[in-house]
Amino acid sequence: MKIRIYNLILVVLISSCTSQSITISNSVPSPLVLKDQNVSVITIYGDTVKNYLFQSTALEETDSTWDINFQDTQKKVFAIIFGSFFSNILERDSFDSLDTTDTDLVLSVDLEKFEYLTPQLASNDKFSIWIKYTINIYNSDLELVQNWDITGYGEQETGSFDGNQAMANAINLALRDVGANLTIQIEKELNELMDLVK
Amino acid sequence: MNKSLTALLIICFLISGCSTTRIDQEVNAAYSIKEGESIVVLSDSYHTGNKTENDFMDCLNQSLSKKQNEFNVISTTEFQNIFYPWFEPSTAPQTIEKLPQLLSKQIIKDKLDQLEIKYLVKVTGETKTNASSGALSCAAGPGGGGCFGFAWWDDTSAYEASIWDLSQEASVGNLSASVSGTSVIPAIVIPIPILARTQSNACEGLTQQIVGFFSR
Repeated sequence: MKIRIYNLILVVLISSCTSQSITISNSVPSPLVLKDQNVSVITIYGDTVKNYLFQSTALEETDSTWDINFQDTQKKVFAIIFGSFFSNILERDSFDSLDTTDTDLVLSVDLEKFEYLTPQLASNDKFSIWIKYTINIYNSDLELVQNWDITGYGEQETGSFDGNQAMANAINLALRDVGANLTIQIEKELNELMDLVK
Repeated sequence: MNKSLTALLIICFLISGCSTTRIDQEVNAAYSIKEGESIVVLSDSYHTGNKTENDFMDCLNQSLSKKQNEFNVISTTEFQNIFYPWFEPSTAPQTIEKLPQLLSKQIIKDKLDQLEIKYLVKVTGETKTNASSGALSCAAGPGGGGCFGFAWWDDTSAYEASIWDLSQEASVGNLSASVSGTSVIPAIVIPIPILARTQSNACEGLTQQIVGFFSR
């Protein structure tokens, strides 16, 4: 009788919707770029970049929901990329505490979008992730001089991974892609940024 | 009953053993590799629709390291981390024509020279299921469970490798390995999977091709 009850509980647990929790902790390697020593930069990160907990809502009863704890991974990615170009970097909590004499450039980073598709939603065998950030760049007079959209895409086929691991891998690939696209954008705009500093 | 079961199992084994392997090699230009020099294998990007599996790349990296002593193999992950972000899925050159643009960056060229990386092996391809048939049903209840039926499917693992000489900035050869096979699962209470290991055979085939290519 006991076995029957356990089996019934098991069947109920398997058939109802589930909640998946993952914690993201991987960052990106230091980029292979030339460092510019003579620029002082202040970075300001939005709350959803500093410490982000994404919680999805189920569209249907059978959908899984996701709790994704990014911790400070996103901030670390930006800090590593900025740190590879500029050696003199300070971080501030908000724009209000800034003084015009503090720095050559101010980089303000905010998370714009985080989107995902699961095999269940897309009817395929992969997890796909899209991330988009906005970076506002201010000069030493705290005037907005440039505005960048930096995106990242990652996908992971389920293959031999379980669902959580495949989703985490797709997110890590998307964050690596963010770092790659940011590096390319800085390299492309570096001369213009240096002109602003001069 | 036992005889027919045995006969069924033998047929299944014979079907699964029926796999075909095809390998091709094409040399485009002169090449050589010295002891101490390195190669790297890198799959084409999923941004271009390529679906080379991670486990196939892991197999190729490990197999190439084990099967020869003539050159070093720098693992794909290690290479991508050292050269980050220049060989990521969205940034790595997808065609040989794009390679000179990347190698015009002196910092990348210097790092390649420092690590003595001579060749980049660009891999494309995937394992696909072409056809499947049969029916297998399993049921479980408080008193126990079991499966009954027969299912089979055909897999093809087809992979190509293009060998890029980083100093000549040219493709020096193309290799390919294609393996087809049938997997079956007969089930009378207990399912017995008899799998055609097409992907691992293709990994083995492409490894031998690459090792052979550099041994000439």
